[in-house]
Parts: sequence; C-alpha cells; structure tokens
Amino acid sequence: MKETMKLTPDMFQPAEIDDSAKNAIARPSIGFWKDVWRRFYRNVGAMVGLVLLSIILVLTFVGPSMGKTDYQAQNLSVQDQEPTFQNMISGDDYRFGTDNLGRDLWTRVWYGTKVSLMIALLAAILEIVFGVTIGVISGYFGGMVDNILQRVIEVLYGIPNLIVVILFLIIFDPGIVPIALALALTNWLPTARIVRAQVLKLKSQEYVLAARTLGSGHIRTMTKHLLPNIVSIVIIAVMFAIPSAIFYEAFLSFIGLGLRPPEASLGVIINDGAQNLQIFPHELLIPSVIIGIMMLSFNLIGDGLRDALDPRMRK
Amino acid sequence: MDLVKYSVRRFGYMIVTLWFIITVTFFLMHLLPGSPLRNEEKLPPQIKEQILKEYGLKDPLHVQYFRYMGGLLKGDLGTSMTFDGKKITDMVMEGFPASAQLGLQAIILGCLIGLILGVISGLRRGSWVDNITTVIAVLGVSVPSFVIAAVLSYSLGLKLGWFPVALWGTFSHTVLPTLALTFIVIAQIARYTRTEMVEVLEQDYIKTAKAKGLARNKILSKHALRNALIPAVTILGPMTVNLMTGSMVVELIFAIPGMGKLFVDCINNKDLTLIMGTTTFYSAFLLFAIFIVDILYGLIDPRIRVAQSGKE
Repeated sequence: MKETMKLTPDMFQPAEIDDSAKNAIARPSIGFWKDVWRRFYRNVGAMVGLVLLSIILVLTFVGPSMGKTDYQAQNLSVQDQEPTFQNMISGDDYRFGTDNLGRDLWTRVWYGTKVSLMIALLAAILEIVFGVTIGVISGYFGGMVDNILQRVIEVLYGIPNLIVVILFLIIFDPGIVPIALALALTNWLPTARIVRAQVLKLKSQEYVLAARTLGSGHIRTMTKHLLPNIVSIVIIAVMFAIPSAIFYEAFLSFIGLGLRPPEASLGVIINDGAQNLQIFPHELLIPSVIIGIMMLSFNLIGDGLRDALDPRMRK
Repeated sequence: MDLVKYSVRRFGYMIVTLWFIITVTFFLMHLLPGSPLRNEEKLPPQIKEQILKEYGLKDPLHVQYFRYMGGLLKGDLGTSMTFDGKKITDMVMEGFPASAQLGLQAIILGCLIGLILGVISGLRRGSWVDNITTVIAVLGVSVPSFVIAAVLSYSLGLKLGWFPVALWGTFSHTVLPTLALTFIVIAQIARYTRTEMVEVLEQDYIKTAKAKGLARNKILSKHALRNALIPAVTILGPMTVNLMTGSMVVELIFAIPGMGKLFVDCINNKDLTLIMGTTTFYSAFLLFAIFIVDILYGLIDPRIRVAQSGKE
C-alpha cells in the first residue's frame, strides 16, 4: 500500500535567507569566569566551604563587638567559666565562657581568628609575589638564568621549612609581619616551580611570538601576555597556601614562637587552652573547632576552584 | 649505572643543602644581637671572660666556624649553654630513640590503615568505605595535630583512663602519642593511594589483562596494586617532615622526653648552641631520610632516574 505523491514545483517555496538571523546567537555566550563559577557552584563541598567561611568572616568583624568585653580585658572574678548552650544563643553571659584570666572567649576567639586570617592572607600574598616573580623569570628567560635559579631552588627545597621558620622567628621578634614573612619565605618554592613549568609551556605559543614580533618588551610580554594565562594556577596556589599558613601560625604559637600577649591569634588561644585542658576542655576545644572549620573550608574551596578552573586536573 | 649516577647526584645535593643550612644557622646564631650569656649583668667581668674563653667565643668568627665544622665531622655537635657543659650529641642521643620509636610506630600503623582504606575506596568508588576515607582525608589535613593530640589525651586518657596521658616508659605510654601522630599519615596515604588506584585501573594494561582472561584477584594484585603503590613511596619523604612537626607538639602535650621536646625547650631557653646542634641534627636526619626515599623511588621506578640523571 504505497501511496505516491505528486510533487509539483508550486509546493516549494524558497527559504527565506536572512543573514541577521543566521548570525544571531541563540544563548548568551559563557565567558571563562562564568563557566568557572558554574562548575564551582555545582560542587557541593566547595559551596559548603564557601558558606562556612563566609559565616566565619562575618563573625570576625561582628563577633568582637558582640562580646561582653574586649579581647584583652581581664575579669578575675569570672575565671574559667564554662559556656552553656543557653548563653550561646541569648548572649546574656559569656557566649563561649571565659579563660583562666577571666577574658571573654567569644571576643578573643573572633579577634584571634581575624589575626590568624590576616597573617595567613599576608603570607599567601607574599608567597605568591615571590613565587610568581621567580617562576616567570626562570621560565621565560630559560637558559643560564633558569639553570642557576633552578639549582638554587633545588638546594633551598631540601631545607626543612620548619627550621627556616623557627630560625627566622628566633632572630626577628614574632609579630604579624615577621610570621607572615617567615611562612612566605619557605612556601614560595613550590609556587615558583609550578609557575615556571606553566610559563615554559606557554612561552612557545604563537601569541607570545606575535607579541614579541610586534615589539613588546620582555616586561610587557611577561605581565600582559603570560601572567593573565597563569592566573588560575596562582589562584589555586593561594587557596592552598592560606590553610597551611593558618596551621603553621597556630603551630608556632603552640611551641612558643607565636605572637606575644596581649596580642591574640587562634594559635595563642589554643596554646592557652592546652594548659587547662584537663580541667576546662572548652578553652581548647572552641578555638580548635574554629581553626578546623576554617582550614576545612579553605581546603574545600581550593579543591572546588581547582576542579572549576582546570577540569583536566579533576581526579 | 644509571642508578649510581642518580644516587651520586642526589647525594651531592644533600651535602650542599646540609652545608648551606649549617653555615647559615651558624652565622645567624652568632650575629644575633646580645650576649650569649644569661644574667650577664650579675656576673663579675673575670668570670664572664672565663666563660667566654671556655666556650671559645673570644676567637674570631671564622676560627669558631671551622672549629665547629671540624667538630661536626667527628660527630661532635658542641656543648649546651644552659645545661652546664652537657654534650649536645649526648642530649640528642637521649631524646632520639623516643622520637624515632613514635615516628616509626606512627608510620607503620598509618601506612597499614591508609593503604587498606585507599585501595578499597579506589576499587569501590562511592561506597561507604570511600566516603569514610574521604572524610578522614579531609579531616586529616584540616585538623592540626595538636588538636588531635589534646582531644585524645582528654577523651581516651583522662575521661576513659585507658592509657597514660604523659611521660615515657612502657608501651602503653606510646599509644596515645602514636595515635595522634598517625592520623595525618593515614589521611595522606589513603588519599594518595586512592587517586593512584583510580588512575591505574583506567590504564590500558588493565584492560589487556582483563581481555586475556585473568582473574580479578590476579589483575588487582599483579597489575593494579603494584603500580598504584609505587608513587606512594614518594610521600614518605614529605611525611617524615610532617611527622617531625607533629612530634614537637605531640611530645610537648604528652611530656615525652624526645627530640621534639628538646628542640622546643632550647628555643624557649634561647640556648644558641643547643639550637644549632639540634637544627643540624634534624636537618641531617631529614635530608638523609628524603635521600633514602629518593633512591628507593629511583630503584622501584626506572623512569625517574632516567629522567633525572640525564641533562633534563
């Protein structure tokens, strides 16, 4: 039962040719950063980290003014008070209790978090500046410069970080800047290596050649053409440098090389709490939980950003 | 031949690095402002003179430097300044066994648990073992060792009273500090093994093995595991460094008379010669550990030594 149909010319019509419709873009184009954000947004871990970190960040600014007293005021009549759930909600009394000198732990913890974060951020920025500068120079110029820098880095790489940091802080009195500097001094090496490897890969690309041919100088080529292309690596490096700096700061305070009282950082507060651990565990546990959450969030965000910025690196 | 070349090269780097550390430490310690003596103002000048002479601090700096380096070659780390005339070599040797025992126990326990967790979660991605491993791995890098140590000493030691919370002596004294140290080892090994396992299982030679009809167990043990474990050796080097950081705080919390405690004490006492001695010992030990790991790695994986002994 095959039905045949007669085809006549008048059944056909020329298709409307509209060049403007052809060129119209159906969906808005997605730029690199938008794409990154989309991938990042879908990552549950990273979003949890982002939310936790935002809460902590807000509290470091709002928290200290919500407390009973400022971070260093002592009230010896209320030593070692344990926090209760009721207080934590209502804020009638010391939300996190008090420490062995009767200082308000709530204020101290949030103030300390701010100081720890400042040290970590400063350390991460310094580290990136050192690492990227050396890495780009070494990778871009290659040859003799690269050879010498790489040999130096190889020797420096062998030096245990801890020893450099400790020696540095024995010589300079611990403060926010010296601690950050000490941490940056040891941690720029891996960044420099990664950046160098990337620059080596990028510098043989045509756009670099084009830029050079058009007369752009070394500095301009490096800053305008190479740097923007390694920015994602740098961001990832920063995200992992911060939690490690937070940890080292706390560690240094713990072994007695941290900030001096009355200055407080999370490490200092944890160290104070450790002395009283057997009797008043809350003095150690509260700051420890905060530091744990903070490092966790940074690590989660770092993982998320790594996957979002460079999907090939996803494991 | 390659291996010899590779080892010699690594050894050379180790010596240069060690020399660099020792020299920098030496000059930094001697350029520090202030006198190495404590209670300086209380001392009569003659006695001060005598002490400085006794420790050889009156000689010019380069003479002191060569004397110190000469002593190091003979295994003499110098004399402590706060503990009257005690040989630093002896002090280090007193503290080292305790730290070494803790470190070894932590590495062995951590590797065992970490490998098992890592392999299982690599094989069964998305299972509950995998989820637990992920949680442990994330917590391991997020919770500082001193927090773990403090929590362990409070819960298992103080509240439950299962293990002693301080001092050193019997095996039960080592339980809590080992647990505190091993956490990060488990986390790192598990995470690393899992990634490697996942990667190896996707390789073509696993498909080939399957295609020629090998049993699953055989594929896993002969082809997958062996190749997945090789890279795990590399993290043993950085791990030793991590353990050293960890051991300082753990020894402090559990009052263990080990190297870590010695180091922290000398920092707090500003005992310059002791700082120099322990730094040298620590660096030498760590560099040697990393050297051994490098050689091991080159031995197991020929690609490494070929890549590095050549001209790059």
